[in-house]
Amino acid sequence: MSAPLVRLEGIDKGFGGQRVVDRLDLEIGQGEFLSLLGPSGCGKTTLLRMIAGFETPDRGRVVIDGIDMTGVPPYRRPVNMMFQSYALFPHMTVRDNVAFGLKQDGVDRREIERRVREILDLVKMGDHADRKPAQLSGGQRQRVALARALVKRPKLLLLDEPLAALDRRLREHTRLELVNLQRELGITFVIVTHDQEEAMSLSSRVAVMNGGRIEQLGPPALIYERPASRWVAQFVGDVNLFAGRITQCNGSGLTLDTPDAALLAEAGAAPLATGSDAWLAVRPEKIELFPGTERPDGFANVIAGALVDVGYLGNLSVYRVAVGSGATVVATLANRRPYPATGLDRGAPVWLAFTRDSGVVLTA
Amino acid sequence: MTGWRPGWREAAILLPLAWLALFFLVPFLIVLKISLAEPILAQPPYSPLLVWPEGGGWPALGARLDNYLVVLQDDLYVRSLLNALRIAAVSTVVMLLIAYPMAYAMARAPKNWRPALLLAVILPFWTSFLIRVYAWIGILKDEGFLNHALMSVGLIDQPLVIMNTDWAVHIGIVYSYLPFMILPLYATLERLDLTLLEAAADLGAPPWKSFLQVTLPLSLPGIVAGSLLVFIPAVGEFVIPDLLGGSDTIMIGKTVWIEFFQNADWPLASAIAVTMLVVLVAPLALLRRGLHG
Amino acid sequence: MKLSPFLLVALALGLAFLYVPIVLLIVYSFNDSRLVTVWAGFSTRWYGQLFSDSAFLEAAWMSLKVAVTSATIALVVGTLAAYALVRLGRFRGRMLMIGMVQAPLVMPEVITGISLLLLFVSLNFDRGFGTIVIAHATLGASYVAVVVQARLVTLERDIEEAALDLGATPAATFRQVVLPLAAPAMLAGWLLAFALSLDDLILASFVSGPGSTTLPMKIYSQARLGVTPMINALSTIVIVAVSLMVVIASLLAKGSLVRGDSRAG
Repeated sequence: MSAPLVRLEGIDKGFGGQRVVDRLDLEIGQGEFLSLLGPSGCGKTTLLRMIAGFETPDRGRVVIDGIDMTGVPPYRRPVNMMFQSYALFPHMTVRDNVAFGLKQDGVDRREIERRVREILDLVKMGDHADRKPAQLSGGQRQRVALARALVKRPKLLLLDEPLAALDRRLREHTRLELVNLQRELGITFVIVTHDQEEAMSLSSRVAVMNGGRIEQLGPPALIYERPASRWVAQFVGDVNLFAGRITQCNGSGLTLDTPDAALLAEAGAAPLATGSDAWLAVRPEKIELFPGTERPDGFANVIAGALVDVGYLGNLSVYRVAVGSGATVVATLANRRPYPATGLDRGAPVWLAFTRDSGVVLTA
Repeated sequence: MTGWRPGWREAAILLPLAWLALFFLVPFLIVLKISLAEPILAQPPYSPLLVWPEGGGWPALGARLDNYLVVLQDDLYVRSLLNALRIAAVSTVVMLLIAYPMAYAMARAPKNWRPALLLAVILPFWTSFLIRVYAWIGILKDEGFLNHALMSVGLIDQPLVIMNTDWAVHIGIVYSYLPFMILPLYATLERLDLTLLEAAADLGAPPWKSFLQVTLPLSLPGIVAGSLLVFIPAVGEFVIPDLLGGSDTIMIGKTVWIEFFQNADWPLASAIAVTMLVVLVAPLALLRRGLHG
Repeated sequence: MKLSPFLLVALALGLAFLYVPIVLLIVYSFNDSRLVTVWAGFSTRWYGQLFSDSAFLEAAWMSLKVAVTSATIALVVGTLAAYALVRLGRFRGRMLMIGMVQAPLVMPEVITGISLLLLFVSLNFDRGFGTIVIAHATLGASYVAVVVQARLVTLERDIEEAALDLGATPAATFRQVVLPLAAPAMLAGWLLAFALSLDDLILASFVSGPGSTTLPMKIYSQARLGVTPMINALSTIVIVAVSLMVVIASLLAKGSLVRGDSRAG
């Protein structure tokens, strides 16, 4: 990564005595598509608003393109924002909405006309330039808001829950468009979302936030496959956590002693002390399920249990299995054969099995 | 949002604050000051609050409570205050009885009627208050429209004496302030969720019961706001008792006017005004709480 | 939805109560007789007399000047107050401003009138046009503030932030975004202040000086002597003018809503 476009250094921000962003550092690279993912109240929107200039950090610096922007008002920052509500000016036509920012900069009238037409064509709203926002559908308003924020060619586009107001079908379609648009324009996008699927499918990197801090920062696959903490593992997707004590940890692998079984896993880069508490996190789709009483072969980890219930989701089925310790383990299986599968009735004895590289050992 | 260019923000705050302070707040302090002075034959006709001794030194405080003693001891002033409170209270209750069914009907009227009905209620409120009070003189006087109508249908054979009595003052107040009562009532009743009434009916409440137990309690904020909104200015009313009332109809607002313009006793008029304000402080505070809660 | 007969009758009687006095006043302004309650045929003679009475015309002109000037000042002061209260968060003096905006609305006018007069006397102001304008502008500002405040509250803050984000300074944002969106409410506020000023007797009586008689003061001094057809004629003109203004204003406000001032959804 060359010199970062945005650098947040030691940002603190509180409202009425409550700390919302807590000593946060973050670098955002040129051309990146970064998601700030977290539950409501985690500080992600406040962080976005500090980059935009609507909030001033209590401490720390916001540096954009090498220039300290900490005290600079929003109207003097090379940053534009797309609002969750879209915030279109209701008294202006689509054309005037999009032209608004260029007019503020005193851009030549003919140039404004050209650029407005160009960007409206890009978001396929060229035919609706003379309409008022109230005459547009939700999806159309979203496009206008996007065009309005992009027309000034900002170095950085901030998007606050840009797809939250759209219905599910439209949202999935728009996601793809957003990714294509970002690639085409090469502008850095920072998006705030509470929807993990959105963060996964859109971004090149995800920052998972919790309690005003970044819990984990990395590409979507890494966040999902190698969560850094139990909190991240549980917030991003579903997970089974097996609590236990490390009894062995060396180059060949790690053994975690749990009430149900001694589980085997890959050893991480940093060696973990034997005798310490840890958790093995295993995603439900990484667990295989075998009916019957015959213990399956070829798996490093096998646990006996009884099927509690099955949730049928069409493409998938979710099996909840009670194991000896009293815990419930969830396994998700694709319905490759006609449902219901034989031998998987309620109360039936089953085996849960997963490989050594399926789980992640967590100490936090 | 701090740390922005100041000028703009300060201007938006300071200009209205300064204007209202200078022309609304400060004048009250002056009234308070002058109510503590004594009337003198001079311009202005009251004694100074601070008497500066000749040749320098600390000023002597010229404040005296004489005016307040007069207000509290003279039967005329006490009576005019009590009278005003009584007339305002009776008028408020009558208005509530007239306005509630009207507001209820407006709130339940078909949606496309409502703007027109609302306009019909607001329109009289915009047209001159003075003219609307004046209109009642022609109706209420001995040979006015009302007596004409009643006598021609044979209900009475002697004209009713209404003009220049407390009756006329009540009628005038009810008529003039009615829109102020209807509007807040309509606002709360219109917002009332009709499914609540359906729920009440579903749970077995007959209409009169669901009115008493659901509609009425939920419209209480509107009742309180409307009542205070008409009661407070009605207490200080001057035009209506002056034009429609008789010489024995004394209300505090009229008394202030007379002390001020006819007797030219500014300190006493100020003391009466302050007394009136003190009496109204409680309802004013209640109204403010109602507007914010 | 259906209205029960009781409600329908109550509404009809209530509206009749509100309008019968006004209608009688208007009808009898066209009465040929000097006796206001006896119909003696249609005539416009009182209108003729009215328009040849220079004292009335002068008072009307004075009232109009006062109303336009004071409503305009009220618009500026009231709009700024509303903006400060809705948008500028917590500032020192906010509670004071709230109190000073709301109190004049319900304060008995006799009290406001006395206090303003005593202020002008203390400051040695020449009483007349200027002092009446100040009195009316102060009362009008409260009405403007309340009306505009109600509108600003419904405007989402995002819209102003969007303007700032797109490079508009706070002043430009106010001019290009807030003002156009608040315009219908501001117009309504101006009209309200205008009508109040045109209507006010008590404040004007306290703070006026020699040579500054407003129309209500003139009407009042005549009305105390009883009903005269000329006052009926004058009242009719005022009522018709104000009603037209109100109806047009409410149509304007509605029209602007239809054109997309309200945000759908």
